[in-house]
Amino acid sequence: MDELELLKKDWKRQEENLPRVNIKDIYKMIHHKSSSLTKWILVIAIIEFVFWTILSIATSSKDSWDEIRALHIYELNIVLTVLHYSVLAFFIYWFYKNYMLISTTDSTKQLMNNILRVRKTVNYYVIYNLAMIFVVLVMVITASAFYDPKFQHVFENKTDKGDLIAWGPILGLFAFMLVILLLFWLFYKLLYGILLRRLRRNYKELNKLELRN
Amino acid sequence: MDPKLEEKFVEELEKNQNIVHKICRLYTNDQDSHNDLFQEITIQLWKAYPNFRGDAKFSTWMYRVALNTAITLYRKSKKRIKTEDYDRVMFKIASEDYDNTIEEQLKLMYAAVKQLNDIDKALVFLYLEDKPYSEISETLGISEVNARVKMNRVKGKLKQLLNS
Repeated sequence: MDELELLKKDWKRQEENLPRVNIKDIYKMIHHKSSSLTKWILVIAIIEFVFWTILSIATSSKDSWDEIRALHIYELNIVLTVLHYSVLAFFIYWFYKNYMLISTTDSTKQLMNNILRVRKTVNYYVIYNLAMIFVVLVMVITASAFYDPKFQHVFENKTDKGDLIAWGPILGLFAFMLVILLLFWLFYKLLYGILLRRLRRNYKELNKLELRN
Repeated sequence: MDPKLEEKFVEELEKNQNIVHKICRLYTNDQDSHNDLFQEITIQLWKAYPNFRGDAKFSTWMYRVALNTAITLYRKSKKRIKTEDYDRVMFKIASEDYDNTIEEQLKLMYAAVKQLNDIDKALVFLYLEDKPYSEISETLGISEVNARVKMNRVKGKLKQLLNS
């Protein structure tokens, strides 16, 4: 086929017109894809951290501290806050480490292991946050039950009318706690769920590649 | 990670990048898709690099991984663009070297090759790269006889496309 031979000759000529990619760009390319998801996990965690910190500073006032003192959880609150921020700092460091690990992985197997590690870290992070919210809720509700006059009123009323009625507010409080936890769970699911799902897809694709090799 | 391995890979790829660009031109129709495919092939080459033992030439190994990526991975994720940008595919030909008829003929040929399916395109690509059938068969994972038979069929298809 003459046309094909003609094409072959022309094919060699076109080398001069091909685009060139420089070494720096190649480095960028091989580091780009797998690291971007973990980078976002790190960025979101930091944004979240800053957001909650600003929110708690903005909403705290002399009155709110007085209320906390009145509930006798001032010291406990301080301890929990210090603990909470230390754990958050630790998680952010962990996310950073994961990000560094993934952006410098060379083998498929290692990359797969690192993806699993990232998923696990994020899951721990979400579980920790939900547990912390639970602890704070229990702390505030218990303290209120003992020291808040409004709550005491409810409890006193309850003891007057007998044990059966006392379950009403308690169940209500439990429902309230569950709703709060559920809302936070949904919040985290939305925030990190999308990234984790993408990571899982990458993992599956890598797994396929690994099997093919 | 071994930084030396990475350095070596990047150097080799930089040196042999024409192969990847040529595949990109054959399998995509606009510059954005070209760049996308180039990046996808680069990532796949890098992922596969630890398995490259150096007993084959880097470029030979590269043909295999790059074509595999163009045929399998890329097709899955990117929809093909229908408007064919032949001017980009039709590489600029110095006018003093060719007369108009040859230029016209080449244009039609490129258009015909672009209409082939992904596997046939790979075959034509290796043929245009002047690879012997032994290497074509190895790269595409088919027997040498099969490669010859397929290539003859592709030539027939191209003739049909040119005449239609």
